[in-house]
Amino acid sequence: MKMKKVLGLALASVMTISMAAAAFAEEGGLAGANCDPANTEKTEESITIAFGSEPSTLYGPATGNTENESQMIASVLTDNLVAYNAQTGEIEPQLATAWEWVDDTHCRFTLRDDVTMTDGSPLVADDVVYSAKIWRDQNATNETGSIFTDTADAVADDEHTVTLEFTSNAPDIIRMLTWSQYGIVSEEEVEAAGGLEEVGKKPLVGSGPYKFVSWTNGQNVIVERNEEYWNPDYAGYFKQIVFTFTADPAARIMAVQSGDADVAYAVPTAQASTFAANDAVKVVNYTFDQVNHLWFNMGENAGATADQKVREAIDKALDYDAITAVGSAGLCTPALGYFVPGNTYYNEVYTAEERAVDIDGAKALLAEAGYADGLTLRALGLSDIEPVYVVMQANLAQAGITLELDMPDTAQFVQQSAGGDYDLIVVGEYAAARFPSLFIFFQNAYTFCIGGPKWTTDEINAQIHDFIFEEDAETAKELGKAFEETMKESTIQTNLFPAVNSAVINPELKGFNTLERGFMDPSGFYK
Amino acid sequence: MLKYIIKRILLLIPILLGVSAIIFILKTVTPGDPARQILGNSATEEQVQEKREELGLNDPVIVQYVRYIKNIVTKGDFGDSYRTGEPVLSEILPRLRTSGIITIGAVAIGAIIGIILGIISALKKYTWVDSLVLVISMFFQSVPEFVVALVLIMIFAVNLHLLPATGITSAKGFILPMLCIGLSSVASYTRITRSSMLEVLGEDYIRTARAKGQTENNITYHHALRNAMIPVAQSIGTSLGNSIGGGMVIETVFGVPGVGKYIVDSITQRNYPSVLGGALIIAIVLTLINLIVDISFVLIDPRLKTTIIASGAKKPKAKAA
Repeated sequence: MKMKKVLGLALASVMTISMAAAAFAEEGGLAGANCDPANTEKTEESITIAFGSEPSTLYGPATGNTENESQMIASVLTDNLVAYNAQTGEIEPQLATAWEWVDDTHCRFTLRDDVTMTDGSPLVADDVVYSAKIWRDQNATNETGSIFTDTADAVADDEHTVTLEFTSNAPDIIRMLTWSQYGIVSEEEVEAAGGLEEVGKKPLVGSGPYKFVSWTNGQNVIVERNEEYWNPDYAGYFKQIVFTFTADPAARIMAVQSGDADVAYAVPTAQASTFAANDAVKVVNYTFDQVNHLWFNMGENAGATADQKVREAIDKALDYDAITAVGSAGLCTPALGYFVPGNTYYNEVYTAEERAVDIDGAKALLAEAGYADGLTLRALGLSDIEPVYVVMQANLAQAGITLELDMPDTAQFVQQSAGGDYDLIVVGEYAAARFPSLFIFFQNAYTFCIGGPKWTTDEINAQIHDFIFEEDAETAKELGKAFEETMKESTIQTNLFPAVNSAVINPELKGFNTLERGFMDPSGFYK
Repeated sequence: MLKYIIKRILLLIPILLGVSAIIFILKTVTPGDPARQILGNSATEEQVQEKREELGLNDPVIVQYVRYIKNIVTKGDFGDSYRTGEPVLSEILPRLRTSGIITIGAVAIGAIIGIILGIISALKKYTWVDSLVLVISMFFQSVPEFVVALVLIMIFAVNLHLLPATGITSAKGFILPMLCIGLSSVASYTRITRSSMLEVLGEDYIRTARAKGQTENNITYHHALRNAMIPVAQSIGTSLGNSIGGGMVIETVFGVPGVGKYIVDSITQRNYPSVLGGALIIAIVLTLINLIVDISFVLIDPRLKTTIIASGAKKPKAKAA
């Protein structure tokens, strides 16, 4: 036990020290798509971006697929009705110049009249109608389709006006339309490509700053600048973007070091930080509106964590500073609220003092719960979160709790998390919009039994509904706080730390921007 | 001889059925639901069940297996990838070519270095040179391949800028993966060459050659080496078969679009048709290569031919008393 504690603390200390040199994105890192005003030139140069995995489709909505890499590549091929400016937090026009809610579920968009699609045809309202039907019909089981009912309508009022029907007029609906899977394509382009399935392989569609050139399976995807792009201010700096796929993060970083690649995307922050002092590369760290939370099993299969005293004991035994130091590579402070600061619903529900380690208090609570001699708990997690669990193991061991770890691959993780045969799970939750969001835990008890039937009550759902659907930001924040207080009082979960990720890039590159959920904007780079 | 070849080909059928059955059984006991994987966390249980039905995953395993084998035999259909919807065979064939090139290159590198070191080691037996060769070859066998891979990238891509760090966009891209896999097999070839050379060098005909006044070079390279190479060549043939799907780690590190990486990715994604198809195609290639190697050696080495013919000959019937 003592050894585990020492190891955990040593790991935390070493990582904290090693990360101290790393800093967050010099460019701010959280800007909207291709929005750096300094990026005004065009060159004949090419940029190579190394991803960790190859997508199965290049236009996900067509196949009901929402892979990260697919969405990042698609973001340069298609434009959306609206764009999100992360620097100002505002939703800005893109293909739509204006929009207004005409009732509780219908929003009318006025389209630009100077946009040409990849095939040279002008953007018309029918293209938006066609795209909306793809979002609805092909994506019934994923986040893209979640803002539409099965029968949601899309109507072209005239050539440049379109009305879309949504599940509600909640504020986050429009923000979600800035996500890359809501790109606009035309039916003619899709038909010319050979239909919806084919367009996933050869996406010569959209009106974006780049056009698809080739996809060599297993090797790369190449896109080239759209010289006819309707918005010259945001045209691409690089003539060509080459996306490559290398699973091993170390190899991706070395590809940047050697000059073979310009960007190694999604590198674990702990690994990237070791290159912070390396002049051959630049490390960019970024947060993405996601907090990692520790959830307790309170479902039908729950063991000791069904008892609130046990959950409180765990809460008291955890060293949030050490956990955060390891989990965020020393770049963040512990999360005091369910959401990240700056989020619409952010509230500081915990104080730093409340989160101080209290081993004696934890032991007392365990004794009250009938576990004076200690107990064993099982935790489920992905391997990238293992260092966090190691610190937790050390923390909980001091209170007499033995934490067993199960670190399967992603597929097993998804499967096992639905099974409920474990006590603890760390899950990062992107909470800038409704999905993936609280609903995963509370509405769909099958997927994650953490929270479980006990808390899938009308009352809890009503609370979530209240603040997500509230139009007034201040009121929404208050309602969100009330919900968080409920979670805190019952120790339904505990907040850990903001999620942080890294990219290693060519030091000459500027314009690293992230879109939703930390997705990089490949069209924003320049020198 | 023809009988032997036909017999070997027929033996492929139970081997491949066995391989496919084992993989199918493993598939059923592996945790993770492909339907859930395809549909994502937000899908309801009803949607997952519908998908399972659509994929035929609710059928008994034996039904799924028979259907799978039937499709292969009658249509050459290894199924469609859950991930891309493309036929598995069309996804694997180009990758098989890439893996094949790397395998041939790696085996060539490993064999050339290993044979040279093995000869040196045999000629300088029990000296410091022999020990040094042993240490060098064992080093490459002992260090994990992915570590060697990263070191090679550091040297040839990052520092010398001679070769690409990852990917296969030109012929240069093949060199580091080949070198990496090849170096790990050096020790094996060195040991086989050394022991084979030592055995041959102790044979009577070598002593005779020496007695006849032949030069040491002539004895070593003309008489000894040629005969010592038979087990080495057999080992090369086997390595070719084994390596075709064995470069999974290296293909992953170097971002090589090979069949090994394809299978690894498919396992992670619970993409069962791709896993099954990949493993089965590798098994077919491996057994075919082994068959070709075996037949080649029967043709090359007259002693083996004699053995086969002798073993296949009918035993004479005992005469009635």
